[in-house]
Amino acid sequence: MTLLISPIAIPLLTATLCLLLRDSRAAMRVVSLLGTFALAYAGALLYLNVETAGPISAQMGGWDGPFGITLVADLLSATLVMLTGLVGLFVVIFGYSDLTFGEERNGHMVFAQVLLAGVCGAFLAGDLFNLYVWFEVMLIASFGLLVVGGKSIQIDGAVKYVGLNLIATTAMLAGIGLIYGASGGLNLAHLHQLLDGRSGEPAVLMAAALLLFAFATKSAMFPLFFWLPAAYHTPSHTTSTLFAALLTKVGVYTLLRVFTLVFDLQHPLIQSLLWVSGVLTLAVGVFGAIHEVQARRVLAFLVMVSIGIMTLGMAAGDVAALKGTLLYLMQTLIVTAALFMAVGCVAYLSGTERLDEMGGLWRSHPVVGGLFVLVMLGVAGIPPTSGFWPKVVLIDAFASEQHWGLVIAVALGSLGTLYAVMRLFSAAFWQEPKAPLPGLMLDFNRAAPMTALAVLVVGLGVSAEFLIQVADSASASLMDPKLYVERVLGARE
Amino acid sequence: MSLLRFLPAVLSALLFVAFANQYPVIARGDVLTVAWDWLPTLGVELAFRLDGLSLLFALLITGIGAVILSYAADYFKTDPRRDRLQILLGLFALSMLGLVLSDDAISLFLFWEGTTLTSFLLVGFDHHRDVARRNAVQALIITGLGGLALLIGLITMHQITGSWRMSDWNAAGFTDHAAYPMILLAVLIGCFTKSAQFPFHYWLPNAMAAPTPVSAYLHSATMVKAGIYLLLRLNPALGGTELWTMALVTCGGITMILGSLWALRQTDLKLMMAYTTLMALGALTLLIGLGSDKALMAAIVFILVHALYKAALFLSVGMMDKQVGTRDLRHIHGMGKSMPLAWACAALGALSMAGIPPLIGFLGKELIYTATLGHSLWVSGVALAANVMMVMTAIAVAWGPFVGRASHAQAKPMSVGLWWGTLVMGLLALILGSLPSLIDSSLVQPILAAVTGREQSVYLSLWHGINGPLVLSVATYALGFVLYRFMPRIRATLSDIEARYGEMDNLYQWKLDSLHRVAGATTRSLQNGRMTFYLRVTFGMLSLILWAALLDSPIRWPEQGLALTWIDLIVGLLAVVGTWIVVRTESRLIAISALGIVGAAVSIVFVMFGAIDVAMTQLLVDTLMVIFIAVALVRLPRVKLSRLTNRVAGFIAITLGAGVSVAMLAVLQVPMHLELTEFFGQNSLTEALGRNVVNVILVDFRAMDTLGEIAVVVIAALAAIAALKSKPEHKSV
Repeated sequence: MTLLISPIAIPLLTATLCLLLRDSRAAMRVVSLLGTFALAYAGALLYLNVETAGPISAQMGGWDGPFGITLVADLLSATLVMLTGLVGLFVVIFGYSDLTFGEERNGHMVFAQVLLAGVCGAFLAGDLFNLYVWFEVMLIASFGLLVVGGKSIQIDGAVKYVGLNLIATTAMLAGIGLIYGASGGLNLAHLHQLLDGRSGEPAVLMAAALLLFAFATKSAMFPLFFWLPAAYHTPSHTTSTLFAALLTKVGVYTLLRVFTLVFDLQHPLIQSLLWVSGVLTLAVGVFGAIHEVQARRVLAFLVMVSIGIMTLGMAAGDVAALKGTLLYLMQTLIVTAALFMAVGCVAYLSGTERLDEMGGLWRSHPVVGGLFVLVMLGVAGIPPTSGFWPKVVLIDAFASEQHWGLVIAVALGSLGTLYAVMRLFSAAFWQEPKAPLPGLMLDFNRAAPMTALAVLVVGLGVSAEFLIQVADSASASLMDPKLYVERVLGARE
Repeated sequence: MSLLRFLPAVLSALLFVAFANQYPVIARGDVLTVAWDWLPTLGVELAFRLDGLSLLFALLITGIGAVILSYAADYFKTDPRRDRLQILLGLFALSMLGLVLSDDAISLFLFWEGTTLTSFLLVGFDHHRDVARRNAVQALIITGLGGLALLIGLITMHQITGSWRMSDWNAAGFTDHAAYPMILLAVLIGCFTKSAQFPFHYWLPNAMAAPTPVSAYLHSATMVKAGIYLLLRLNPALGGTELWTMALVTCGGITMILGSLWALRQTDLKLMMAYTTLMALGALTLLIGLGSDKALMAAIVFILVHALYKAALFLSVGMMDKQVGTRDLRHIHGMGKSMPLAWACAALGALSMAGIPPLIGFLGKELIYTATLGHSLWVSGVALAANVMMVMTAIAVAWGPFVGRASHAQAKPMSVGLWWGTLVMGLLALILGSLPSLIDSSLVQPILAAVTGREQSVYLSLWHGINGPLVLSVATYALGFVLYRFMPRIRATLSDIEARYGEMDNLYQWKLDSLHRVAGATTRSLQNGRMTFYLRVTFGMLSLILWAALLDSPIRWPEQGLALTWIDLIVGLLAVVGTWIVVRTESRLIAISALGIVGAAVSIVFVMFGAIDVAMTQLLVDTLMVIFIAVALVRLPRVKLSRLTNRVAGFIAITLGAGVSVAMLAVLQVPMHLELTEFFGQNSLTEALGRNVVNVILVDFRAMDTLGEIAVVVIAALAAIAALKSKPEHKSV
């Protein structure tokens, strides 16, 4: 019970404290660091617990599911909560140097903590409407994070972000309404029982369509991705990192969860939609990443590439492909955070974010360059980094089902990514800068989390057995959720 | 302290000695293996295996590595980037060593990509030059493409055998498998890109943007042979089919001719060497493609031959560059007296390249002729042509710069680190050529056994009597010496052809530019920054996905029909009229008011179903909305959308509305499961002590949702404050 509620309660509490202490920069910093540390710790405890005991659930307010709201953690959600806490911790430290007092005072830390609460809530929700609530929490918190800087470009990005995401949440609400009307349930495990064998019914299929639309928008799949490149490059690097690491991943997670537990991922219509969308997401991501000249816009499109690859994994839909998708999902959380943070450092050192103006860092900052190379290997999926293994598992899964189109799509996507990141590297580190470099050095708050993440990118690749085992058993339990349902509803018939 | 710069060279030499120590073991025909578990779930290991083939490459990598690292230490004696270069070279050497020692395919791939990456960083070593950056990226893209293809091939072979060990693959063989053509294609793309075979050859000459020691080590002696290594390694599993022979002989032959011909066109000695490397790689591919025992033996010997003479020649060119400051063969001549050491090194290398006895090059060439004569006449013709051009190139590099009138008054002195290794390699070519029995049964024999998968017995000697190969060799020298006289004319013709038809490199550039054009056009047209466009696409997609689901499912019209009362009709009409006015009116004020009508109509619907509290909420929200919109609209600019855009938007709106309506009708057809409703009704008062069920649901049964929503409201308020605090920026920046 405490284990399940604390990943939501701790950040909400931290947010409240930060709000009360908003006039003291030092107090806010200490509180948010301690709070995020506690979150990461709680996440780790949750993971250890689930790893030994299997899925655990807690009934909120003591009302047993399906009548009350259930929080559930299986191995997948527990691991994701743990990684969220970890990324949150690094981001908070990075923010110490990256954020201005204005942003902090306007509530950056409050919004960031509420965002973390929303993300953890979405990972742990065992109830469809509760999931919707956490999506709303995330949406409004990200709006706050986008506007704290107060620049007009940020407001513009925030309007597009919120406008398009509101459509998604509205569609989600409509879908939930339909599903409640058609089945009379909201608890995911309960819905699994209620809708067993009903996936072809018009009402169910249309509800599935609405929810697919909502989750696809949240994940920034083609053609519902506009909000992502419109907003990700506008706020502080801290916020960008937080967004890029967590938000789209929540979309993919919920899609996987709801479309294995409630709906049928292998329904031909859903498969073909994901197929087409995945390939186009990949293509648009690669094209954008090659075309853009602003570093963080390149990164925003690279996030889309990762989404495209995961979408293709879901499109294949068998247990091996899901294993690859889950493995990709978990490691891309770390890799994306590392990438955005590394670019944050590079932008700080070069004094610009434009690829055609930066340069020369290979000579002046070889260590940063080395770390950057490691992160890029992770993004491009080159061994021994963590990005390599999901590529192997996915290609293996596609090839064994003779999906050669998917194999080629993933390969070309990887090649495009490699080109895009090397273009970034060549510009930031190798070419001669337009103006002389500001001559700055990285301070501890920037360097430490960036280094830690880069080391993690390699560490999770070298000792990938940990994540592979999680993906292995999580994909098996996604396909066969008997234990999950049992742990939520007990022996209830 | 300054001697510390030779530390990497010493380490490499020690490794060489360690590998040389295994020589007797391998010569006996034994194989050393060692393996650790890496990812048991995927069956991936760190598995290494030392057989004859691996040993040859390991000796080349560490031996030439020692020479190059020592050379680089003095070549970059005063350059502040020396440490960086040596670290990268060391990392490369380790990757390359791992590559040739791996038995596990994933381990091999790890090191394969390691060589790609270090090569990228080394080609871009002089990164202030645009051309160095460009060529580094080119090498990375092409070898990266090959890496991905190779990975697909490796994974497929793993699927078939269930093992990642290449030794198991060789035992199993894939030539009869249905997926064989696909596997072969994937592996060949991997090997051909890495070893610069046509049609991927053009990155190699461009990689000469790297400093000379790097080019000598990576791009002639070791890395570019990785593809050749893998072809040899997988020969038992994949080789011997018609497809294999056809692909390898064709691409190898074209690369061979292309390389030797274009070598003649160069005036930069280093580029000339790069093209002769292409020729050698093509020859190796061709020999492996021929596949006979003789051809494979020729390939193995030629690997050693080429590594020795090419490294020596590259390093000699580097010496000339260091001593007189140019490597253009038109600007350097007659320097033999002032650069005796460079001349000695270049001469030994060139004699071996031209295949003059008793250097080892002669042995290699004889073996090649034996192998090609055993196959067909036209392949022998290709080999002859390429070898003639090799002779011409050899003369150009070892004769031209050193004889005749002196072009420079003096040459800078050279330190020992630069020349000792080069001279050793040249002398080694001489010694091994004179005494081939040193390597035949002890090195070549176990390699051939590894490559063919059978026991072999090998005997090498310089003199085989007067036979076909010897006749061809004599013809090669004669033609080479004669044609050398026409070298300037040939060069002029070739550069004319190049100017007229361009190079493959231009094609690459065109493809890259097209990619950028397509990427730019796609990105600009999709991510165009116009919210109205984004909204149209998003709503359009929503409508599309709804209708896709609708048409996919067996939808029926409700059987009991819709019982509408006159009140229903009036309220419905009210909403429709309101919507119609919103859409049609030009005035914003009227539109806002009409929107209020729609909201009111919806509230009435709630009242009709007895949900008074929901109706009140809706009415309040709607009133507030109207006020907000009225305030906001005044500040927004008026955008005139085109007629077509409006029609599209209208169409999307109508289909979306219709889709949602049909979806609701579909839900009505399913009997609702009332378990939850009944539970709430029964337990609201008894368990939760509240009479209003809705309230109890909000604050007790589903209190968690309410907590979340409270957070939303608070954060919305805070975010609004933050947004309002922001000041509009004036575009002063």
